[in-house]
This record gives sequence, structure tokens and C-alpha cells, in this order.
Amino acid sequence: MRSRDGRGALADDTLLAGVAVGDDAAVDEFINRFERRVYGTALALVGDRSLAQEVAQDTFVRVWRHAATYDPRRGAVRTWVLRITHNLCVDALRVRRPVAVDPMLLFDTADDRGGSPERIAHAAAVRAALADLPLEQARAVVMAAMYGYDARTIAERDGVPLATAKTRIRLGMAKLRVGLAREEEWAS
Amino acid sequence: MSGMTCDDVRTVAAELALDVLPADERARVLDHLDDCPVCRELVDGYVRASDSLLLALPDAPVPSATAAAIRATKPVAQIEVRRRMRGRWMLAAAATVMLVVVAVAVVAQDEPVEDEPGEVAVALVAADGDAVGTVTLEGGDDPWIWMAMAGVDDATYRCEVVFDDGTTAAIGRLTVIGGHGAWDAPIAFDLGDVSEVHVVAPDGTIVASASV
Repeated sequence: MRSRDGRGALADDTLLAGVAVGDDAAVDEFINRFERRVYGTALALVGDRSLAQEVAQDTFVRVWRHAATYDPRRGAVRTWVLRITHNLCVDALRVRRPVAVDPMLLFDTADDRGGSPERIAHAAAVRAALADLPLEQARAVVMAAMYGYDARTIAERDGVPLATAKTRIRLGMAKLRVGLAREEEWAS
Repeated sequence: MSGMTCDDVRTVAAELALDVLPADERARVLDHLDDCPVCRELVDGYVRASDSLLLALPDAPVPSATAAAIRATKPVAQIEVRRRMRGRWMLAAAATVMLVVVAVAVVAQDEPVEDEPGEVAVALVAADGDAVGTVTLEGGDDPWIWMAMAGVDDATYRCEVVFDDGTTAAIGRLTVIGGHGAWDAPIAFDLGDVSEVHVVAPDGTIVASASV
């Protein structure tokens, strides 16, 4: 769908400012710009097209509702939007838990032909950083970060003591933080 | 005082950043972070790592039915109410978010604007009569408050509501940096009982208020 009135060239935060005041063309462009990301994120996390559609709809409803309070100091617009999507997915998954968690499959971009080269490169960096972790730590990080599982739930799922689950999250995130920083440094 | 040391916080900082820390522990960690920039930086680093994971998830083609369902969410009612803002938006397209917030405040200055059933937007007015922001209150099943300010001194302000019986309650903090700031939160009181919203400076001065 083509953007109207040249709004396709606007920065994300300027476009969101238009959304905040109810500019129809800005709303259209915002949807065009983010629907693949929002729907893709939802689909990757909930694994169900119908549920992913519900999450995508709810994401945009919340964007319209909260656009005026978006705070650029707390992250880029795309991060803000995807956090909304993520929170909705976590809520949805409280009712329907995914059967299995494979950290590598979640970030598989083999079918992501429409993604930008930058995002696909970023996904590759994340996969590389996750692959450097012991599998149990990568799983714990993905279960917590992506599915909103707390340490107690992870301990139950993996059949380990609570302290072990907490350690896996802590060590996994610490290594991931360093690994991603190294990847970003290398890429720049 | 949270009773937590930096070592204590380091063991749970990742869980806090991932938003999976139990509520009681979370409150104590947040208390510690209020006074500890070193631990705040640690948590921020974990938040960035978590965001990196989120941003790495693949895009997906949107089925036509889903695309239509998404477009059905467009805020038609808001567009109608705010249509008079359209001229201002043409300028705002090249301006900052907060300029828009001020423009909304000007519209809301004279009378509350009912955007949706149960939702009221009112201007935050400084002592000199200038509109410096907006307050939006939404009732219903998911009551919420949004506040935004621009053109005021950088500081962390206390947000208070004044009830019809004259009592007040602090409901949160709004931080202004670079001349603008915003804050929102769920609320747990009846909107019908609220008469005013105040923004209070650290020295106790009411810098702006809104009549609901």
C-alpha cells in the first residue's frame, strides 16, 4: 500500500506524532511501515495465525491510544511498538503455552525474505551470540525474554532447582549482553 | 531503604530487565535503583540485550484478512474529534513530538474533550494561565491516566489527584528532560471522584493543574 502525501519519508517519531493527533494519512503510513514487523513478531512468539492477528490488532489499538505519551528517551519507536506486541504475546501465552522452545528456530530468518538487510544481519548476530551460550542458558534466556517465563516456571519446565534456573538466566543474559555488544562493535 | 546491596541487585538484575522478577522483589530492587546509577546502568544493559532479541524476530507477510483487521482498528473517532488539529499537524510533521503535545493542550484548554466514551482530555494550566501540557483520563474496565508536559523546567514532578472531598493522593512521577516529558499509568480510583490533577515541583509548589 502506498503512502500518502509523502509521509513515507518521515522519521518514525515524527510519523507517530501525526498518529497522536489523529492524522489519517499518518495512521495509514504507520500501519504500512510496521504491520509486517508486528505480525511477524506475534507469529514467531505465539505460533498461531489467528492469535497473531489478534495480537497485531491489539498492538495497533494500543499504539493509537498511547501515541501521545511515547517517550523517545525510552527507546526507538520500533522498539516501543514491538515491546507492546511482546507484552500482548506474553499475556496471550499465559493461557496457551507453547509446546517447545528452540532458541535457534525462533530467530530463523530463512523465510524472512522481506526483511531489511540490516535486520537480517542483526538476527544473524543474535543467533551467533545465542549459539555461544550453553544450550540450557540460551533456552532459559529465550524462555524468560521472549515468553515471559519467570525462574520458577523455567525450573519446573527444565526439572531443575529454582536457584539453577535463576543462575541460568543471569549468566545467559550477562554473556548475551557482552556477546551482542561485541557483535555490534564488529559490525560498526 | 530497600535493604538490598549492589551485590543483591546484580543477582536479579537480568530478571528485572526481562520483567520476570516476582513483584515483592521487584519493588525492593526498584527502590535500590532510585539511588544507584551503577546498578541502573547494569539493568539498562540487560534491557538493551532483551530488546535486541525482540528486534531479531523475523518479519512476516501479512495475510489480507489480517491486514484488513488491522486497518479496522484505525482511530476513526479520534480522527473526527481531532480533525480541527489537521492544520496544525502539517506544521507538526516537521516538528518534535512535544510541540504536538502543546498543540493538543491548546485545543483542550477551554473545555474537556471527550475522545471516546469514558475518556476526558483536559489541559494542564500553569499559574500564569499558559497551557503546559495535557491530562487524559480514561475510565471503563482498564482505567488509565496519561500526562504530558512541555515548556517547564527540567525536574521530576509529583503527579497528584484531588478528590471531590478535598483529599489528595500522589499517583506517580513525571520527569521532564530537555523541556518535555510524559508519563502514564493504570489508576485504581473512580474517575467520577476526581476534581483536579496537580503537577507538584520537588519544592512542593504546584506548577500546573487541570480541572476535571
